[in-house]
Formats: sequence, structure tokens, C-alpha cells
Amino acid sequence: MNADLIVVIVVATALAFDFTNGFHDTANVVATSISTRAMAPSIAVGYASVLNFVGAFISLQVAATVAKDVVQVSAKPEFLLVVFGGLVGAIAWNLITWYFGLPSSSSHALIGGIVGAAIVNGGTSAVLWDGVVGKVMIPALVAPVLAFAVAGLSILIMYRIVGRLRPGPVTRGFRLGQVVSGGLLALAHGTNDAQKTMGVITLALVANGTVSQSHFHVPTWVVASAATAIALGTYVGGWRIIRTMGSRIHKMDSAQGFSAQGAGAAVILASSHVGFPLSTTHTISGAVIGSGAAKRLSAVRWGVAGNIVVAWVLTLPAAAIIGGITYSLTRVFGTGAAGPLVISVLIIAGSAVLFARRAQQTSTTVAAEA
Amino acid sequence: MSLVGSIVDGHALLQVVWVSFAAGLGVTAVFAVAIVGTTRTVDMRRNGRGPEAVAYGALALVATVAVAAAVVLAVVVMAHK
Repeated sequence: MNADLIVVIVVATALAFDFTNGFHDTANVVATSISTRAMAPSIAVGYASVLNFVGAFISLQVAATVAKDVVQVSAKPEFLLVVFGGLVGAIAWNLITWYFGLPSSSSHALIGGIVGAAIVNGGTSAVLWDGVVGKVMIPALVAPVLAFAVAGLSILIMYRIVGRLRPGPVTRGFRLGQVVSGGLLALAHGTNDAQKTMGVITLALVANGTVSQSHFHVPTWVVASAATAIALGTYVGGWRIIRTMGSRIHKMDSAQGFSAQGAGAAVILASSHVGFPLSTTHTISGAVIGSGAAKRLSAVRWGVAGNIVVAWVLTLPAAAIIGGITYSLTRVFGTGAAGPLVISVLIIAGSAVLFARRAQQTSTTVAAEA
Repeated sequence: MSLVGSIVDGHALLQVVWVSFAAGLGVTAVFAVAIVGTTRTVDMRRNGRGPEAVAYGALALVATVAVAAAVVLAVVVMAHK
């Protein structure tokens, strides 16, 4: 009964993380389509939300990697607390970076959080370092660079092909193409990011004995709930970011938007196919920067690119530290449900304080500008 | 080198790299060809050059079908593993 209650808390926390992941990443998925006027904001957000949902159903390779190749899975009660600690570490780091406006990867935060909690529980041997390095860290390094190169080369090829045509039909053509490439990007985002949550929930189910360690599978209800959470997060997050969309995105033409979305989708889908849990944020950012740099190096905000690199370096260890601390705090209350309940109340209260402070700062800034 | 080689799934990583280049560059280039075909069809028709208009129209159609096929193929391959 106690373990079942912890599983319920872990699943609810995982779905909350999935929701924030969609909420956090909406801008990445729809920004390009909106900034080039390929789609109206309301249509772009709804479209991305639906395709995020569909994308979550098309593959389970990434879920398998998260569940089997990151930490040693144990069918002991305290392992549920490891998963819980990892999730709280990821959510807390996401909230902190959101509050301070730092670009960060929800995926790296999740993996970092789980690894940190696992180390505190079972030492460094509890982590499957081959999997973490070979299937998470190296692909995470390669993917943004690859997306940068593919987007940069594709925009050069496209400019060469359409260079002599009248700009009007070309712009309209690429805007139409962005409906397809934006859809693929949303599909890719749904499949890679929702699967990370599926993998974490499955880890908890294995620890609880609900899913057999030897006959690993992701239950259908896990797939459906993760798909729903990320799609809802994308839809809600979209409405929030639309107001500031115009000022946050650098100017790009529809051909650049098409190449960035196409490159991002190609890299994320190919990686999902082989089970690499990428940072979709960093991959899409790499593609956007590549499409801008190929046209004109000075068009890229290199300071923003530098911030992304700093966030990349910080996220894994920071989330790991928070995940480890959360696990230790949870264990103060034993291996029962009391620890997760107390920590859940604290994280909800902390989130409310951060949201209230942010809202207050935003209204002060708006009043000052008026 | 051998340590890195033993940790990294080189085959999978290489697959990601070549598929990303092939799909990313191939699909966007073919789509650009479809735009050329469509735009030239309109231009040729306006100038009364029927045969050229038909040829560019066929090029646009083939390129559009190729892009659609690539998108469907990508989703089917993803769904069947």
C-alpha cells in the first residue's frame, strides 16, 4: 500500500515534469513557423500540440534507453525514492532556469537528476556510465553540431536552387513547406521528449514489481498519459509565449525556417530511432543558428549560443546535485510515502512562490515601460 | 580510443549522422526543386510556352511526390522498430 502510494506520487510527478517539458519547449517547436508567418500563432500551437501527442506513440526506443541504460534498476522500495529524487531534481532545475531566464534542457535535467539520486543511494556503481556517456552525453554533444551543419548546408543548397526566382512565390512555397517541416518537428519533439517520461515511469513500475525487469515493456496507459501531458503542456505553454514571441526570435526568412525545422526534425527522428534521448531544445537551437550562420555569421546572436553551451555544461551536474539532495531529504523520513509527500508539498509551494515573484516582476516591468 | 569505441555505439551514431544529412539535405533540396518547378510553370504559361510549362509542371509534381513519400517513409520507419 505504502509502495503503491509512492508509485502514484512518482507517476504524478513524472507527468507534471512532462507537462512542464511541453510548456518549456513550445517556443522551440512553433517559434520558427510563427516568426516567418507560415502559420498563425493559434494554429501553430494547436497543430504542434496534436502532433506532439501523435509523436509520443510512434516509437519506444528512447523510453527503453532511459529505463535500462542510465542507472542500475533495483526492485527495492528505496529505488522508487531514487526516481522521485531525480524527477524533483529535474523539475527544480527547470524552475530555477526558467526563473532566471537561462536556456536549459529538460532532458539533461532529467537524466542528471536520476543519476545524482542513484549515486547518493548506491554509489557511483549504481550508474551505468557506458550508457550515460555513450547514449546520452556523446549524442547530446553531436546532435546540436549535426543540426547546425545540416541546416547550414541545406540553406546554402536551397538558396542556390531558388536564387534566380521571384521572391514572392519562393516565400509562399517555403511557408507551405514549413507546415510540413513544422509538423515533423512537433512529431519528433513528441516522440523524443514524451518517451523520457515514459522511461522514468517504467523505471518506477519495475522498482514496484508492476513491470518485470526481465520482460521489459512500456504499458499503453503510460504511453497515453505521457502523450497527453506533453501535448497539454505544449498547448498551454504556447499561449503564454505568444505575447513575447516577436521580440525573442531573430528575423529569419521562410527558407531558413524550413531548413532549420527540416534539419532539427531529421536529427531528432534519426536519434529517436536508435534510442538516443537528445536535448530537443539544443538540437533545434543548433539548427536555427546553422540556418542563420550560413547566410551571414553576424546574423546570429552568438551570446545566446554561448549561453546555451554554458547551460549545457551546468545542467547535468546541477540537476544531479539537486536530485541527490532531494533523495537524501526524502530518506530522512524513511522509505515510506511521508518523504515524497513532504517534498511534493515543498516543491509545489516553491513553484508557487517563484511564479508569483515572476508575475510581480513582469507586471512591474510592463508598468515601467508604459 | 578503444575505451571510447567500447562505450559509444559507433554504428548507431554513424547512422544518425548519415540519415540526418541524407534526409535533411535531400528533402529540403527536392522541395526547393518543387518550388522551382511550380514557379517556372506559372511563368512559362504566362509567356505562352506550353511544352516548357508542362515539363516544369511534371518536375514540380515529381518533386512534391518525392517529398511526401520521404515524410511518410520517415514516419513508417520510426513506427516499425
